[in-house]
Amino acid sequence: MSDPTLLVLSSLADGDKHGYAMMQDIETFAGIRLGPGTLYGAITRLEECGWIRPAGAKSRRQPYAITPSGRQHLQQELATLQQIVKTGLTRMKHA
Amino acid sequence: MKPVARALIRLYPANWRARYGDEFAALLEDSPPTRSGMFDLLKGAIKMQLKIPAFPKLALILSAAGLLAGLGVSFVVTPRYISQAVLTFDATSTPKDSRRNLNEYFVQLENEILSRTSLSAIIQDPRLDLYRRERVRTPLEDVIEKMRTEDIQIGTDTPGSVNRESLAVQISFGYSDLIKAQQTVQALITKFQDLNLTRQRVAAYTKRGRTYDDVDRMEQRIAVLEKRLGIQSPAPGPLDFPAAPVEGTNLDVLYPPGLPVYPVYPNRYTFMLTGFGAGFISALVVAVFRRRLPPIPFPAQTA
Repeated sequence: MSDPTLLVLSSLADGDKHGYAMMQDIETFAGIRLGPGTLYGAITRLEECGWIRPAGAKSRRQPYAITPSGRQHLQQELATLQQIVKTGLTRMKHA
Repeated sequence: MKPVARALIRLYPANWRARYGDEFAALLEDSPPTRSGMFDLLKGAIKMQLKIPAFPKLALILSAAGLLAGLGVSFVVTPRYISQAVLTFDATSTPKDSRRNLNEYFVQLENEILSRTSLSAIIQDPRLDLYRRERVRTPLEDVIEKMRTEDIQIGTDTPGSVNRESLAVQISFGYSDLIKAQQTVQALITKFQDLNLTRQRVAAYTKRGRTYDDVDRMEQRIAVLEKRLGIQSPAPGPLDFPAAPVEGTNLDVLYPPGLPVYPVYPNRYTFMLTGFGAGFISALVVAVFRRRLPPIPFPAQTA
């Protein structure tokens, strides 16, 4: 549930953000503070996969945007997570 | 930005830095990393280095070389074997009024055994012949001091406690030769036993109001009387004292000195692990300072 790539995709789902903004956003909605190395490791992987891309002109505080394929991947991952959560909760009730 | 963080960024591959370096530095300015953040930076750098196709191979070769070098060094380094034994001092057979403080008694014996004369005799005993090389290079005083402070360990189970009836004492000796280590502990035990016996005898005679001088005087008088009466004196034999049961502290060997099969130093696994780690770090350093890095297919560059 704390996969950094999933957290970054979730953060970018509602709009473009640069590294520091993503870090703060993730801390707000997930309660997880990603380290700088972990965050940029995730950004590198996501960009390699084509799920995010740099938005706007090149700058020191480079914003990133989620791509359509990234959005599709996020939807699939969240659906899987939702299924896991639903199943887990149901089984907890019956236990 | 903190100098440490700046140094850690340099651990990232040059191509990665060319692509993300500026924005990464900006992030670290906005959010200066804590101690755990520094560790995260280092972890990220290693992960990025591992993404370079040539790095895993380089790391594998250097780490394996380091591991083998560590193993090799562990065979060259002088080993250290430790032999241990446990003695027990027991004062239960002594009447309570004459029972002395065992710890104090033990310290007296220990001081005598660790004295210069005693240790010098052990070192120069031809059967042991300890520290032969050291004695060539350094004065005997220094060798004795090293033996006393570094190689011999004598400790009680509960130091400082008083009014006890028994006391366990552990004796250990560390040396490069396993057999000599064992024999030296045995020599120390023998010294403890001899000294304890001597103390018991002295105590016994003192209690009976006799001294060695008294015994000498009596023997002289007997010799004079035998001469006057024309009795042939029997050949002098050892005095059978103490004839009466000896009261005092009994010393028993609970665990005799063991023969240490494995050395405590060098630990081969530690040496191998250190060599492996050094090899991996070397690979990391080589990767960082290598002039020509293979291209990394980061999307921004390929696009």
